[in-house]
Amino acid sequence: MSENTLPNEPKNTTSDLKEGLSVENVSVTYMTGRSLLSSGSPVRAVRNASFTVPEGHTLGIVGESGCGKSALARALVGLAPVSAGRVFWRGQQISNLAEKEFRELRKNIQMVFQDPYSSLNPKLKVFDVLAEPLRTHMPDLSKAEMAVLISDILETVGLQADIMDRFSHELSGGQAQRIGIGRSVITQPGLLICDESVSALDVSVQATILNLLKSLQADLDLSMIFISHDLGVIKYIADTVAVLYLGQIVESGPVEDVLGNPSHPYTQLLLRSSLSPGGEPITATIDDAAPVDLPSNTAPPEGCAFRARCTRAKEDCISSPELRPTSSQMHHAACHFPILSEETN
Amino acid sequence: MLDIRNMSVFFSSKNHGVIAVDDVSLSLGAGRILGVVGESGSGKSQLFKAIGGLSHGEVSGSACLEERELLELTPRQLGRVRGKDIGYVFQDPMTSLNPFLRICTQLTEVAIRHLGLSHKAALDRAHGLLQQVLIPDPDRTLRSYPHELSGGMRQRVVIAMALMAEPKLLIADEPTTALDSTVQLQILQLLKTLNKNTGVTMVLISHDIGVVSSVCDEVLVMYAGRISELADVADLIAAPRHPYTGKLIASTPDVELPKTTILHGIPGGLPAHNTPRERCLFADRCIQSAAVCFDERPPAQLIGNTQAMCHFPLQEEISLV
Repeated sequence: MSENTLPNEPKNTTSDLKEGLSVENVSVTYMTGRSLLSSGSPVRAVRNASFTVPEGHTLGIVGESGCGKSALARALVGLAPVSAGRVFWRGQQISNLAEKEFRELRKNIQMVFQDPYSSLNPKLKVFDVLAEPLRTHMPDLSKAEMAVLISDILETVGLQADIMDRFSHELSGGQAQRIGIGRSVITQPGLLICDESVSALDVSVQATILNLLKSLQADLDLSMIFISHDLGVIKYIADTVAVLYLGQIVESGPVEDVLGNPSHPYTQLLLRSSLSPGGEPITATIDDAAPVDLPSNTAPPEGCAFRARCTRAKEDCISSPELRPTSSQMHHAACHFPILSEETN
Repeated sequence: MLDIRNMSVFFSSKNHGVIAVDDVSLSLGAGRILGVVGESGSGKSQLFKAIGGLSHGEVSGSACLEERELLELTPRQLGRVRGKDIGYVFQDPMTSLNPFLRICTQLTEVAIRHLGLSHKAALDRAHGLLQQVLIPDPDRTLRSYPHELSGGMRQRVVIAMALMAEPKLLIADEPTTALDSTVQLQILQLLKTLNKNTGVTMVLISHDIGVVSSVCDEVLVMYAGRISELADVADLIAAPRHPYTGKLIASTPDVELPKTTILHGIPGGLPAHNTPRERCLFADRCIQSAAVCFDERPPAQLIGNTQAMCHFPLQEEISLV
């Protein structure tokens, strides 16, 4: 197993862990096909991921479906078990806490989901949606104090106060996602995890939500993990980025560096697949020879997981590449034959 | 080739009616690729469902495919047109595939029914088409059931199925939206190749202006059931004439742009269904709207080759880079 290490990785010392989130060699394994007769087969959704998110920074996580980006997010908020490794938040270990201990922590670590409607209780009015986290985490609040906090948060997320009496089905997608964000930040968390939080929205609304998240981050000094399949969105919102392929981090570093000078062939493939309005038109030639399906994460391939799809693969790729610094100390890639910056120009 | 005149689609319900498509006219030349962009509720899907008789609303106006009026056909005749003359590819391949039948049965059925081929000839054709859509092992795929294939493979099969009866027009409605970006690129390259090699006319409907501008020759931008702008793709990107198009492009995250570029988005939302029709439906969200925009339906204005439905179309060249 390769050592997946990111820049600024604290080497098992607790002294500088007080800053933000630190994830050390975390693996998330699910069991599938479990029945009376068999214990099922393990799906290794995340393998040995390490990274840090300094306080007030945004880490973007990008990858295709099945790469483990959501499993990782769910593990960080205790919705999925961390099967190996450790997670620290402001110096405190938070992986695999008992539910009771985690409840206290959730005030500090909140999540915004993809589908703004299914993540809101259809039977609750907006007021109660926003009141719920307050009742859970700040039970001593008086009704009046609660009402003040709720009207403040509505203003923060750019909604009118009269929306309080509506149900979620009466909201537009953008409004519903603003409520979802409001619910997440009303307890003043330190870390916000956004899992494809703008993917279900129209672009005209998506841009306004991204701007809202950016300004919230500045105002509340939030740390953020922003998961998306859209490189354009990641570049807009994230400071650093980790590219995930089949459960492993294959490239990471400052977002402009990684997306401007990709070192890993997979990152380069993602960039080429990212279509923009002013970009190169697609030609009638098929440049990727045979379409290859994603390998399975129940039986991940030996060595570099990307080698079956990689045009640069050679014999060495049968052994697992480690994350190593490339163009700078901050920029890491797990590839035996990383792309040099001269090649991309 | 395809000529749509004053088409509208109306949905009536107990309390109120909704005009999903409002007086749309356009024509498309043979062998061209038309992109249709719009956000949810723009009517982009309804318009092209309606020409194939797949709309549940009340359809009015005219739609001619090679001089043949489609909107006067009986449901039975339309059923023949759909397999034979118009092929459809939808976002979710499973809406087009029967989970209980092998791929070979589903593909050959189309050719046997619409082209009158023998089973053997239909199977050969299916095999050839699967090769054409770059399926690595056509024999195995023909024997498979849909659930045994990945999402990208299923979408290839659906494209092959849509092409089985050699349609003149292929309508692809968000064909790559559910797919990963690397697979999306392959499918779009495939569509482009099919267009070049077989000359099939295509309509590519997408919410993603990046997808549309990378593949299409001309682009229709729709908003709230109406045409906002109809233009050649290069003109649309370099010099959008409708303020909505300009805002849409400026809201789209783009990995090529510097990180410091600010996406503004468009505040507000779609107009309510009971908004008066004799006005511009984008006026409430438009930064340059004037009194006339709220009182009169905007006329179609022609600037170069671009048609914009706007009282005050943008005139100057805008540089996006």
